[in-house]
Amino acid sequence: MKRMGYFCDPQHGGNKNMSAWKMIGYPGMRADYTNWVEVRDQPYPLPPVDLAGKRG
Amino acid sequence: MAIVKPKVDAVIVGMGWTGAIMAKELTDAGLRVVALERGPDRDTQPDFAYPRVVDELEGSIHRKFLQSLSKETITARHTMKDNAVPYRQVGSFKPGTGVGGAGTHWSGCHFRALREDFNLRSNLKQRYGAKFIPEGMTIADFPLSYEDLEPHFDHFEYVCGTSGKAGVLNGAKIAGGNPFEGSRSREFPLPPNRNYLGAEMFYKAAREMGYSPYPIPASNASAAYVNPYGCQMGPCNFCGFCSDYGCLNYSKASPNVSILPVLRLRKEFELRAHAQVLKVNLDSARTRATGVTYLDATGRETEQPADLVLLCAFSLFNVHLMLLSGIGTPYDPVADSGTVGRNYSYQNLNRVTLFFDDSVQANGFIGIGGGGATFDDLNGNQLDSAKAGFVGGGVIWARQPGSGPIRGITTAPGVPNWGSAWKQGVKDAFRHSFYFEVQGACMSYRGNFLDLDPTYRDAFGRPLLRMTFDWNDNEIRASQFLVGKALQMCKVLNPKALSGDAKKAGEHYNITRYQSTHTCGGAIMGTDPKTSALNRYLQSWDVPNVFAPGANAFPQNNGYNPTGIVGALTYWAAKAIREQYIKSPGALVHT
Repeated sequence: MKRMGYFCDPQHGGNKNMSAWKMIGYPGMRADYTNWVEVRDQPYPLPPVDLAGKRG
Repeated sequence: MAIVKPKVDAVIVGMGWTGAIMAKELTDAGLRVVALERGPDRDTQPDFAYPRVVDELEGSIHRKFLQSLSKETITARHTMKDNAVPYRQVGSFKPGTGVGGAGTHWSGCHFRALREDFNLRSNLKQRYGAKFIPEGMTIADFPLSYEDLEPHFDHFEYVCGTSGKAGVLNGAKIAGGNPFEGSRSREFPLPPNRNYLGAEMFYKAAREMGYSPYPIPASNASAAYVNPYGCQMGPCNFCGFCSDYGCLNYSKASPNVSILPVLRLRKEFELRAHAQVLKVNLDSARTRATGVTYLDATGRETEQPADLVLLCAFSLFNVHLMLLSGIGTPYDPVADSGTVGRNYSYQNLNRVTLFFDDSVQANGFIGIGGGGATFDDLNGNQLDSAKAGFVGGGVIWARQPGSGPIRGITTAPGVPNWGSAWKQGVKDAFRHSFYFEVQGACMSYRGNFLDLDPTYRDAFGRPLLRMTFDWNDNEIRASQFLVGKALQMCKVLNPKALSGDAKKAGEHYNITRYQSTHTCGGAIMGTDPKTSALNRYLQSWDVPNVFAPGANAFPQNNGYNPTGIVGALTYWAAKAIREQYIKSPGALVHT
């Protein structure tokens, strides 16, 4: 089952303040994980970024 | 009255991988080429530029980069007794549109076929006897060998900057690659990509089970690269928007990145986007094509005369155009006669998901389309079909093209689909689970075929292509066997929970659920014009100035992704056109 409004970029009207992304630990639209592919011993540290460039 | 354009040497229908390769090779040979693409022109800038391209709702849900099914689609049914209905929402497979075609939104898995994939039928007969192949299974040998295609596999990998590790180099086995592959004449152009956690775990589990894992050959560049055409690629940054998206980073090989930068500068080449080809025009004897008729961007009916017609659309639509135009004889499954529509096959994809606690950082949002690990210990000649109880093997792999939350978060068994327990379930799963997949071969059968639908028409008034397809017992048994092996392997890693989706006995094909875009066959290559639509050079037996490169030419599908094989076959056909056909136009194979 898909939850489009709940998980979409806030520009589409849902996911206010990126709260659904923060809940699951999704970094949003960062789209660059070059330095994190091989890190195993700590959780990904950065909060989400949305398409408008806002940080959650 | 249709507009008639000046005649050209060759007209290409569709500007995906096969169209771009043909356009490059034929303009190299000095031909004047016009390419007609039904969708828009697209390029990295502006269409795939960051941040706009990474909108998951637009890309993976609204399917911005895929074919719209509102104008053209197919109809589908399970058996000849059923009524087919139109495929109105993208589900089971994802045809592309626009310049680059499905070659923009593919993942990048770039395999060669195994040597024994080319002579599947005769190999099975030799190993197990003729009676081993079930009645109604219409598998056939490819009319060419691995050795015929090796130079073209090699060249296409160098065009794509494929990242991987050779397992057999000039006949000698070398550590780290696939020990069962056909011999390569060179190492890959780039070394393998780095491993995310799921791939690392795959190596551990596979080795413990005694398998021989190797990096999936990936056309996702592991380092900066310049291809033989001078086109440049940048190293993949694991952005997680690979499958469904054009690459924002010039890292995933595509017609747009790897070939079109050269083509666009050529005077002999003209690209017309928003040009919807309606049919191939034939002379009255139906043995020669005179060109194509299309609707231009403003909807005007236009004729493009040409000496050579190259059908380079998505595999299904190549078959559709052949049927609509009267190229060859439509397949009749009752009489078992005719060729166009015969041997439609697919891919047998299944998934197992492993769930861990929050100390395990799987980070599924980190993604690379083709990167990962696989093994061939249950594929090709390594599979004992008599013992396993089915024909055609498959691969098990770790892949992680990038999973954003709207594409769906698989939760552990027992998690409800709503409420606070669901929230906790997706939170537990999102960063701490990964999956392995089984990609099985799919055999061809008398009852699985393509023809024209008697009821439904597209926006241009043409009958839709009708797909008759269902799973056969052989593929169900393959799914159960291979998923069983995958689950066994997962247990080595001690996951907190495990889920798998092997097909159940009697299960029907569900076209509403995404499985694989590897639709194959329908206009297959072969040695006999009675049972194949194309000869070994992908040339129509019936209309020799028509060639139809694509996965439509596969007599059945093997356990691999088709793009590497499709690209190699297209270079092989282009070589035959350049070196034989241009000098002496006509049939390249006589029977």
